[in-house]
Amino acid sequence: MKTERETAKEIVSLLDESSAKLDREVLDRLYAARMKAVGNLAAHKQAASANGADGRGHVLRLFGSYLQQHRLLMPAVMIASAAVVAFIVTQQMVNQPPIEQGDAFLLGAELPPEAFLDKGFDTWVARTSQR
Amino acid sequence: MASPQELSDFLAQVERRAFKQTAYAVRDDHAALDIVQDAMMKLSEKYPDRPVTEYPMLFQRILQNTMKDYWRRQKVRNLWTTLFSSFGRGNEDDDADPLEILGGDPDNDTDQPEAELQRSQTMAIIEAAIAKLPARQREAFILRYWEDMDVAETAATMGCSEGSVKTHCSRAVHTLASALERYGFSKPPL
Repeated sequence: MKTERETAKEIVSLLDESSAKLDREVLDRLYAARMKAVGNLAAHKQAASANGADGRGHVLRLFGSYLQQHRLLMPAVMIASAAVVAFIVTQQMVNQPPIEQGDAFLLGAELPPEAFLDKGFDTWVARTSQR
Repeated sequence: MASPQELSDFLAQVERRAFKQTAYAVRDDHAALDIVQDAMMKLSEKYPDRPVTEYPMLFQRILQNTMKDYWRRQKVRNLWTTLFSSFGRGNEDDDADPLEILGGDPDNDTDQPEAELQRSQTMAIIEAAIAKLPARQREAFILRYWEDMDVAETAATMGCSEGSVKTHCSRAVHTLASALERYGFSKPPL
């Protein structure tokens, strides 16, 4: 009585034999796929060594690799960021409190702020300007 | 960090098994080639800085995930096909009888020695039986025995417990041995 492992090994030896008899077309495609993957890795290594040959640029390289992996996501992130900034700026411009505008007027005026609190000031200005 | 040469050696070592394993699962040689190619590219793109010792598990995991992506796409495609066509028929290969496969190469009956014929018959039965195994059993059997991973590595690659791996493997071996016996082969002729 054979054990599970012995039976499995016998079956696997048949599978090995089967995989050794693949068609030429399949082998060619596997070879091409392997070369493509190896070329991809070689290009990555070359880019990595160019970026950080003397130990500098590791952070940028890491960031660059991240950006490269998520390059399809970046335009969406940039558009969303621009929309958020535009929204904040618009809110700042539209909802600026009137009291701040008043402060700016008082500080920018030539007269002291107390002059605008005097109830007779407008009358005095009107009378003086009539002369 | 693996060198391109190390990656090339690793892929050369596993590519045939990966192709056969995928072909058993998806039952389409062209799709299997595409899946293996995708897995190779993903390995080189996503894990260029990993040591070559980690490649077997990483590659198997990528391969399994790429197969799952393929099945998901097939599922969506089949759904649309079913919705828009009344001519949908199941994959005829699902019902393929290993005995029909045995009769597929008439040259064997005349030109090859009897031992060679019996061996190719056994191979055809085994391959048909593997293709018919439930996906998890097939995955466990191939990783554990063909890829020669230990139980812990197989469990990690499959994302399940070691007990499940043992159960899947035991059932798979039992099913494959039964398939051979059913067709009159008490054991693989080695």
